[in-house]
Amino acid sequence: MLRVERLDVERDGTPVLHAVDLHVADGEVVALIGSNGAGKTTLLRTVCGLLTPTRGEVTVAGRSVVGVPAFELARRGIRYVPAERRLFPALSVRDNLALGAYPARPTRDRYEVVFELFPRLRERRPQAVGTMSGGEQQMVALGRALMSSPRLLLLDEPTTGLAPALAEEAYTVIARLRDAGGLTVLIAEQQVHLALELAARAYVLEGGTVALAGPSTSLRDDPGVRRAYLGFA
Amino acid sequence: MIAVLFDGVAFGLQLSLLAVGLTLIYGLGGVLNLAHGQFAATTAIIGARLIDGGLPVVVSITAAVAMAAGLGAALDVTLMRPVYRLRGEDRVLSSLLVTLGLAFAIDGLLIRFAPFTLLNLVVPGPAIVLFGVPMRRGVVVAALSAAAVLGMLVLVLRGSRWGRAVRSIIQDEEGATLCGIDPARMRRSVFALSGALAGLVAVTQGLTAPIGATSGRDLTVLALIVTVVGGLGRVSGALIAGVLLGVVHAVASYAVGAFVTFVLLLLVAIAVILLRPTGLVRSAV
Repeated sequence: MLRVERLDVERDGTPVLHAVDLHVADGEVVALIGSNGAGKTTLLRTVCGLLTPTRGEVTVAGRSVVGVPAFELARRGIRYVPAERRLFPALSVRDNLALGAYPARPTRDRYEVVFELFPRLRERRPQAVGTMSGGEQQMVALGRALMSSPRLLLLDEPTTGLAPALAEEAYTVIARLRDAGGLTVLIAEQQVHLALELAARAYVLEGGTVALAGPSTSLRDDPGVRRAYLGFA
Repeated sequence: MIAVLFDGVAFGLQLSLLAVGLTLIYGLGGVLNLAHGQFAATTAIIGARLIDGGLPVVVSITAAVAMAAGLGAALDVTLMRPVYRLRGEDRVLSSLLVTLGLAFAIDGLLIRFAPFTLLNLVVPGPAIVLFGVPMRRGVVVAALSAAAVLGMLVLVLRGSRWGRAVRSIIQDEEGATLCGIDPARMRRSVFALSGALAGLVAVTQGLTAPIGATSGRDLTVLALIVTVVGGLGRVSGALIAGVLLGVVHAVASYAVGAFVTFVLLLLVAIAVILLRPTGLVRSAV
């Protein structure tokens, strides 16, 4: 589904990513872990078209996405959910979700898919999103992306600002999505234990390059990962 | 006194119409258009010339307003291009400079080529009596048309897919992009709409009193004051501020005289900005 090859990305002239290789197969959930500033967000923003690489290639389903505007990639089903969520605070839950289906008209079926996952949103349909709690806003952000039946979901730290219990809840929902099938997910996360539990494979980014990659089970036992990201001395 | 109030509301609705066009393009593009009133003046001149040329009034006016929409879209894709490469404050300032130049150019052209052309749309018939106050038919038609267009605009912004997309860009452009909305294309359509709204104000003004080549500057200044008082990028703010300042305008002209109305309008604007720096309406769109 997603293939990233020899990717270099600069932000304001400063190199952030260097020679990054990564791939995510159809229907796979892959985690991207690493500390703050390692380049996780930059990688996701490049895949969804908000940033243009200086070198390298990014393809989704065999088609290059380099130089394609972000709105066009969103229409092709590549949906990025940023950590800061980027919702429309004065609009209702319903309107935020409806915009997720743009340019198509939102169908009842898609609303149902989202409301099944997040029953709380069904009750809050008319509420302005700006007045909701962080956890509820995260539900709207995920729901908005799902309204378009995406083929590739790029999640950037979906647990940002959430209490531990809510963070676990968010991951339970993403796991349900994974099990329902048909969705390919690349998820950047600082709460490494959650991400490694969800994803079959993971990449560890350090200083803008892939330092380590492999199945989550083996990364969980890796002494370096345990020390740096899982809090084991 | 009631007559003055009615006049003020009738004028105010037109100010709202004028300011909504400005506030929408600020919301979408972070730019202001100081040639907004000049678009109205151009519409008036073209409309008047088409009528003089023997075309039916409705056809002439429709064509002139369509031309104003074209002017708006053309401004977005030509002169504004370099402006959009800048961000934030730099973008606003350079848009002011570019459109000020355009305003001077349009003023010059209109005064050079059509100094005596006036759009004067007379609605025949006796005055309409409202609550015992006789109102000229033209004024009533102008006020009702402005109110109808504003009402439709609000419905479209609230209820249609296009309107939802416009409001989403005003609130978060990146968020809108991530939903598959093309902000540049939406901005172009809103620029066209803004031009058409300026054109419609030329028509409603023409129903009230003859309007010609030199009216652009006053209309731009009025639109700018109303936009700022209502809060930049706030549609509901522009609606409220327009009616409010229309009433102030009418009362000031009646009580003190036309020559100080602009001073009073500016004083009201300053007072609002001091008390509520983000404009009358606080919440976004």
